[in-house]
Amino acid sequence: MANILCIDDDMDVIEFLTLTLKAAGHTVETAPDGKAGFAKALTFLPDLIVLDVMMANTTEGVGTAFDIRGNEKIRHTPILMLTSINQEFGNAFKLQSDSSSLPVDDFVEKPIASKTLLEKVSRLLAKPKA
Amino acid sequence: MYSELETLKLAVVDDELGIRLGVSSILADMTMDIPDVGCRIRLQVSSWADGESFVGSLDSNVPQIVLLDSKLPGIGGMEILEGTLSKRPDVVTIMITAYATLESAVRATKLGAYDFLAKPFTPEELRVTVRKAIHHHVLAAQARRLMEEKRTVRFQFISVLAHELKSPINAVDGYLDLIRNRMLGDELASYDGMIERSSLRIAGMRKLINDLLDLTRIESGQRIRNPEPLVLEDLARAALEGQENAAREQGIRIDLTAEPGLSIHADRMEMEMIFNNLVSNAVKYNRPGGTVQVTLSRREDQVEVQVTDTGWGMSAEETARLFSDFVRIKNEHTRDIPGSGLGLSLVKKLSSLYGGSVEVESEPGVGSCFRVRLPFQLSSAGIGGAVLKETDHG
Repeated sequence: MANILCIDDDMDVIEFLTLTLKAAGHTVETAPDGKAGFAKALTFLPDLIVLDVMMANTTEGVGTAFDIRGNEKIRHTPILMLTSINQEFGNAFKLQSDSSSLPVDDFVEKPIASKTLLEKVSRLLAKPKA
Repeated sequence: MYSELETLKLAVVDDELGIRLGVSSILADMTMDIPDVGCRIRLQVSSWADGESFVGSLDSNVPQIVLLDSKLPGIGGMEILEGTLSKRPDVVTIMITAYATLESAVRATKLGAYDFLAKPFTPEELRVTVRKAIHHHVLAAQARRLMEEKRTVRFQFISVLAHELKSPINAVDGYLDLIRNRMLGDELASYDGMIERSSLRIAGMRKLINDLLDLTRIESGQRIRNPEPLVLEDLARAALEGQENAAREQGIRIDLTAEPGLSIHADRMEMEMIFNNLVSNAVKYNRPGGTVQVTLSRREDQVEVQVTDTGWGMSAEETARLFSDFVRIKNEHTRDIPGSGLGLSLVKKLSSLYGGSVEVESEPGVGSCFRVRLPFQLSSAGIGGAVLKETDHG
């Protein structure tokens, strides 16, 4: 099973992710914001990062995704981005599901269904490393 | 928008060479101060002998002000006004009419002209009319910009609000998903924590909706404000009583020190909002067994409400954004505390509405101290008609 780092400022979402991923046999570490998450990624060296896009009322997660991609040690770690941004931001911030505008590998829409989450996690973990 | 010296483009369109030369020379050295927006205007004048070449020039160069002769050899001034210029509401047009007939002036105004000048006109008449047009242009441009800003601020506010309303729903949805899939086994008691968390998130959402309604009522100016003399100590005691149960549960002691005879002329409900928010925060974000000290005092021509707690405190970075909408300090201590992120924003808006202020001092691990200062004597007239600055929310 894999090591997964979950970054979200909503502790209830963190709890949901932790329980769901642990139940599937994964080892889970968490961080409450992008900065702490990035730091933890460098030491924990996870197989996958689950990253919330909206933290502290900003799209902080976007910056964190670019930080991860810009660091030699962790740049190839798959990122699964959590979002409910599509409905909220309309034209102000377009997320494309093919991830051409963001350096992430897949998206999960909030509210997260545990089944969808686990499916996407398995798919990303099975993908050969770039 | 405007720096110190702003150049506006003025076009004069007239088939009479004398008018074109006269207008150019009279306006060439003119400057105008607009104190409302703090800028000085000077004009750059271009002139056109016929309508066709003027209309042709608009593709590359749009003037802010046009002096337009109504009777031109080819395409007439009225036609230009009705056609090309009707699509450019930002251009201020002054019609030059050959005969000072009321009819042509009315027609030009109906077609969107801002003003008119009747031939023959004196240099002073020209200057006065152009000055009026400049003033109109500057204020209209500023109004457009403010409207744009207001729309942006409103959009941001709604976006964040949508996020804040969805977060608890998403959290509760997540817990229901876990319960539905028996993620912790078949024992119902295992899910007590999730059910409790769900209730807390729903309570937080309800508080957000209520605070939002308060905020909207205050900002819209719709709420009828009834300023009356209020004894500060009574307001403080009422807020303390409201928090008694919550404080007792956490073993928190609340002390009140009040300078005698302090009163304020203000709306009761709004003062209650200030006191309730400050005192309930001091209890909510305190540590078990802590204390809350409420002190009422007079500071020159202001009254000061000081609420000090022995809670977890905040960093300088956290206090800097504390009074904005939807800001909540998120950490392991605040996790289980339902809040809307609007309470202190509300306190700040109310304080400034009354011509007062709010400030905070905080030390991580030690506690926080909030100080609201409000003018001692308020005339009812000063408050009755006051509305918050529109740019706050749109």
